[in-house]
Amino acid sequence: MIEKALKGNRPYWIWITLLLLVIAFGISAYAQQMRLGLSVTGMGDGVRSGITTMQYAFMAAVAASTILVVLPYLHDYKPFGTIVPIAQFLGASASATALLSLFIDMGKPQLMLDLLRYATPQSPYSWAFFLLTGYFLINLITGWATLGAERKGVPTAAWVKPLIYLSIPWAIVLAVVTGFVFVNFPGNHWIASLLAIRLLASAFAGGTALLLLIILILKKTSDFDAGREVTDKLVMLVTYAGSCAFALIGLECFARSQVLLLLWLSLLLGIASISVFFVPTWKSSISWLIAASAGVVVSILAEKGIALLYSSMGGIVAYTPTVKEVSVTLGVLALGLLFFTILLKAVVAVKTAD
Amino acid sequence: MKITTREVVFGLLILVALLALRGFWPTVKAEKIPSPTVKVTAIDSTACIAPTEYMRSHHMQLLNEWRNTGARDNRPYVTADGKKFQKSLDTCLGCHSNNTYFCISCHQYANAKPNCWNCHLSPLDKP
Amino acid sequence: MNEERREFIKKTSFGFLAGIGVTSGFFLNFLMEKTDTSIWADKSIAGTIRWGMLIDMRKCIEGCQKCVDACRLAHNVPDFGHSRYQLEWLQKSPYHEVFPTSGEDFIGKERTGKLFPSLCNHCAEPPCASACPTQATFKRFDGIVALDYHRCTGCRSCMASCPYGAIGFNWSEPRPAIKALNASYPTREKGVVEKCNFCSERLLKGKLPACVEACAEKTLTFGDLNDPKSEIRLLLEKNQTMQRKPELGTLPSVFYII
Repeated sequence: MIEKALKGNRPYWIWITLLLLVIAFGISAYAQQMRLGLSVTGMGDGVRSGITTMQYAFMAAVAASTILVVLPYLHDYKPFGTIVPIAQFLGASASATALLSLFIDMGKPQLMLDLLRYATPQSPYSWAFFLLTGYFLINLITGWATLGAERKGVPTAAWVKPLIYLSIPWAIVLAVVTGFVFVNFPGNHWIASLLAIRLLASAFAGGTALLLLIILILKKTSDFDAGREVTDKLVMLVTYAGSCAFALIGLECFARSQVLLLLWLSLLLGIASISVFFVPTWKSSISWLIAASAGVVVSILAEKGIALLYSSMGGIVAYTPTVKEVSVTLGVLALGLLFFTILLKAVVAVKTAD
Repeated sequence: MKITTREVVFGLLILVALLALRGFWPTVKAEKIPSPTVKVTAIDSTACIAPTEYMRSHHMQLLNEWRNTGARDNRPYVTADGKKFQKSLDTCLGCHSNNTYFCISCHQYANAKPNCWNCHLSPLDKP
Repeated sequence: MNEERREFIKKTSFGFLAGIGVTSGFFLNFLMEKTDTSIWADKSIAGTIRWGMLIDMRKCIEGCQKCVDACRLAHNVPDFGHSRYQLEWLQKSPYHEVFPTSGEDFIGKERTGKLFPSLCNHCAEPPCASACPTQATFKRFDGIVALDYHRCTGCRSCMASCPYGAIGFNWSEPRPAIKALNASYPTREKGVVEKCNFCSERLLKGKLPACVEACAEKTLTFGDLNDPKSEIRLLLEKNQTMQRKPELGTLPSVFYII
């Protein structure tokens, strides 16, 4: 199936070249980071995490959210059958991007395997590494197996379903525990009230909105159309999860904080986007749907970003990302997108039986 | 024959003396236990921790073990003959840094680049 | 592995050691340092010792940096010369940074206007140690929250979870940033975190921490919090003391008299 990625039209190859270019920039910037240390980033005393961590947090959330598509399918909701491999590959690509984002943020990446060797049960970071790696493998394997079976028109192998069942609790834990890593929180994350539930809600809202965006873009750029029922259902899921998420994020507006304006802006964007889904005429317009789901994605991304600005010492940190830092982060994003594009190409090829 | 009081007392004294000697008998009879040939010596960083041949071929393994356990295991390293050493690169360098080129002369030849000197001051760095 | 090695050493070493024993007599003044025997007394069972520090601000002199300088020198703490990369094991910080949750109002400037020596609190419940994914940060048998630099991956989870900002990160290579290199202690490398170790390397030799020794005014008192007869315990019983952010339940081992 992978050979389908080698055939494509002109826009496809332009897209691939663009991604490779960004990756090349990222690699050259990372080489400098290797030589000079993390001083090439805008981080410093008090600012222990930056846009790389924001990308990690968002991608981990996206990865976890794909379970919302897989879950109805397991309950025999047939329409989602067409987009289940897309969701699984999105889960795999997002996990890989999140893992790579963690990797480029490490001071001594050469000790990556020590994370396995000295795995610590009480450390959220240790869990995040383990869960993301596992989730990547589960999604890639089950997605590939499902798609392969569909291509040949045979039933999926018997071992696939238990693996998918395993991915359900896996994703829910993933959404929460990966969030613990980036939130600057002195003391015990594990029992912090509200934090876990908010991470879950915002992950489901942001991730499903991104999936909706991808499906809509696919409809515009390729022959693949998931169908009205699928988009309607996804809109419903985004509305549910988004309503919960923005209500929980809204609670923070009552706390004293120096970033209240930013918080209000992201919240307003999120609520406005969700409101679009309630208007029937807008809901049936693809352009409105694209704008609204993009709005939810940006709002959740901003929420992850704002969380980084809180210092664990109390107060707000001053942080401006550097060009090198942005290059490395975008390089990782491009790598994830390239991986996802290749997988998606295989899905579209099978679905449109080309 | 008349037995005098003095003779009775004298006889009793001999009996007591014999009984007392009986108590000493096990010690007298026992074989001498040889004193232990290897004494547990006091901690001393002035000695080698293993034969030169062994260290030449295995020092990286020993150092790696010290590296992994030295910080968290508060017990000293105990050699086969009971000598105790602090698990620290300084234990080695305490003696071996008297030759500034002790580490580097071999490592350079073998093109081995251990990362010890990223943090630890090599004998070459020391003033 | 270990057992094998032991056996091997046992079998091969006796003859060799005998040789060493004979020859060592000829080189009495060899450049070798005898280790202090008392440090290996096998009394260090977990929980029996808990090192702590009491900082008596009534004795601390304004503008004095002796403890900070002694610490820098003792541990090769780098000075990157840029506030963004600032890294300290021990520093003097204003009241609102050291006790941000204790309230500053109505206490009086003569007490809150000072600069307070602040360092790692060596908490009994260290959040940094439970955040570390490789147990590079861990609580030692004697209550010291130690850092194993060999294992640190530079993920900075500990920095995020420390409520005292006591952990610093080497954003670039630290060795060029060290003003006076101290040959008796290692440096760190770029990409690892570092923090106060309560001078565990000095405690091993029976010495007091460098900052305590450097303070002529006896502002800093160091001792075993688990020993009811220790000086620090007697002072803690007699005086009203403060800990940093006690409400977080981290149980700091550093106390202040303000």
